[in-house]
Amino acid sequence: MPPTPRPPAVSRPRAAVAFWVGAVLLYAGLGVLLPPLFLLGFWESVPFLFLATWLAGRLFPRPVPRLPAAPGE
Amino acid sequence: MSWAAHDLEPYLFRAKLGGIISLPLCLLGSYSPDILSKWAVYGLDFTGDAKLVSDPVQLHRGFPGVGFTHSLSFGILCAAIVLLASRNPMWAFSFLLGAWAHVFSDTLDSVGVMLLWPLTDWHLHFDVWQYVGQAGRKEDAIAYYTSLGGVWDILWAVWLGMHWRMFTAYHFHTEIVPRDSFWRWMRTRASDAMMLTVYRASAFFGIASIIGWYVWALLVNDFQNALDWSLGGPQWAPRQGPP
Repeated sequence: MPPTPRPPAVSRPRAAVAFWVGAVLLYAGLGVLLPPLFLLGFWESVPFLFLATWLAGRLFPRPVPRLPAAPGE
Repeated sequence: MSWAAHDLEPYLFRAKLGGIISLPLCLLGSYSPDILSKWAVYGLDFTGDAKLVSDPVQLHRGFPGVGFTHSLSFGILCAAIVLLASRNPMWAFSFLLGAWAHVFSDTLDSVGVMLLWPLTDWHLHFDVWQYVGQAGRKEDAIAYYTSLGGVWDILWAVWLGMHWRMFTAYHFHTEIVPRDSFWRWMRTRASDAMMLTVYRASAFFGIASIIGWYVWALLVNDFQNALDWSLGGPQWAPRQGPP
């Protein structure tokens, strides 16, 4: 009986978790270098997070489920 | 005062209480007690040299001052306004829970809060760590993250880490968006990446801040860079708050 190929769904979440752990550590590292900018500035974290979110969407794509239509839609 | 705990508590409420919590409103409630006063408490720079008020502690937690924002009644008043404006009980309850969580978290420092204002200006304070906000952002960060305050933040971060799946796009789209009209409204106006950014922002900033501040306070900064997990610490900081 031929061996069953390993499903990619197992490794992809691990890679995504590793990606996000890396993103958090990278931002924390920026904060250590320049605390007044990165660790005090919540708004400064938003562009970084947006970039990471956009990149994660490209690296680990998932279909966005459709919501049930609201009345009148 | 607490640092990242205020950023993280609403996510745990959402994880534990489910669809009865609107995360954006709970976060807004959690930020509400400090949103207008923290900059004045700390001053305009990182070191605390550019002071704006003579008595930051009185301003932040006292009356006269804006200490009333750290009371149960302030949360109720704001939640009532949210309810009247939105007609959404879930939003109002979420705001109230966030605001009260902030208030109760801040009872753990040495100054505490006027919990029952306007009935009394008595402060509830448990003195688990020292209030150092009057010394500016830099010294407060060192004091907080070398004392039990930092442990308080870690506790919330670890607990939230056990619910890491709530930050996946799948969970957001299947569990969060359908149950809160805020996200359904936003979905017609913003991209998927933007919505996920808004959803994750406070947790991302909170957890990265805890890691960053610990590394900075203990390994980079050269002022009082040792852990002091004694009750009411750090002991080098001058005592603040009512006896």
